[in-house]
Amino acid sequence: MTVIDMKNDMMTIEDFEERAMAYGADLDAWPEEDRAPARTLLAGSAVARRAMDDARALDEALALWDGPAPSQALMSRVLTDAATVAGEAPVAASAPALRTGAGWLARVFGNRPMLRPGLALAACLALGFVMGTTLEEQVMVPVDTGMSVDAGMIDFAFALEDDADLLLGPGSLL
Amino acid sequence: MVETRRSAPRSGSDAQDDDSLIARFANGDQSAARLLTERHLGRVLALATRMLRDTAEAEDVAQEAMMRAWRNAAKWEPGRAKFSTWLHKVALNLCYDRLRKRKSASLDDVAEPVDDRASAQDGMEASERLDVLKDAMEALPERQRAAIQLRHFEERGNDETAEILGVSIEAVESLLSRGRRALRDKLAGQRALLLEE
Repeated sequence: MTVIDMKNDMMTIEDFEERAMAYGADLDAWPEEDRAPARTLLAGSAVARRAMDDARALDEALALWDGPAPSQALMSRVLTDAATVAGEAPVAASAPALRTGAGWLARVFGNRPMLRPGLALAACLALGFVMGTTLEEQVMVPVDTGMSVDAGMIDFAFALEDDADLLLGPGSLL
Repeated sequence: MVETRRSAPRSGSDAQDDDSLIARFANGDQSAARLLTERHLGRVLALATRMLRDTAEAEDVAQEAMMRAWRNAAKWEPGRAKFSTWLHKVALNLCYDRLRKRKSASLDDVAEPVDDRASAQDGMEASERLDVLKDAMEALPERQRAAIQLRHFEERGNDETAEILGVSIEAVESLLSRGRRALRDKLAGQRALLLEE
């Protein structure tokens, strides 16, 4: 063993007391590299043994504190939640909406429910304006154009709602 | 003591299984949810109970943490993190939120401090020691309390504890040492009071 190895294997009594206070009296719970020097100190130092007794007393006090077992009611609530989320899965899986214009708008404007009706209305007005100004000379305007646009806007608004879950990243849930 | 600390099953080796179960759940397998719940709910509940010392609140936290697991199942990336580490981090953050709300509550709503001597009778019985310990734990700074929960009760390694707490490994050791020393001093102070009487 070299001098450097000996130094690495050494542990001061202060270091020992610090580790004992941090990790307790079970040497297996200590960082692996500290265990051997700790055993060496324990064998030769009454101070180290006292520190270990001190840590053991605290370990024993902590061991009295059992955590409660989950009640059946809590288990049921958690599993009901899981079933509910699983039931929502097909809705959340409608990912292609993100690739539509609705998904793009949702990215731009954010996931704010207050904006959805406003966006739909604005889109209706804009489309109406465009059609009114650019198509006014076309004679063959379908009678039900307005209706089909309305229906499209309704689908569009729903698509925005569908995107809501998809816009949440894991980080935002922490 | 050693037997007690070793009695709780370790979850570290189950990481791959957890990933598989999450994938199964994301594909609609409800039995996977039951297995994950049976495996993790108890530990999450114990963590929340010791952090909050309120059974109803701890149950709410445990339920919410599991709910977030279900909601994130489809986005889970196997191998990126250990599921139990992620779940404990979520639960711990939920506990922190509730503890901060308590702190911000009106002082009028805060319970009177417990008189340590009130429970001192013939000697320091185990249940009394436990009461003192619980009070002492509650008085610890949040991160010291969490470090003790994770290392002592959950038997998490230093690296995993550091990851959950978002601190360095050296900081974990410091948090543990300061926290446990405060608990020891509190228990020693209680004994001294008993001896004086």
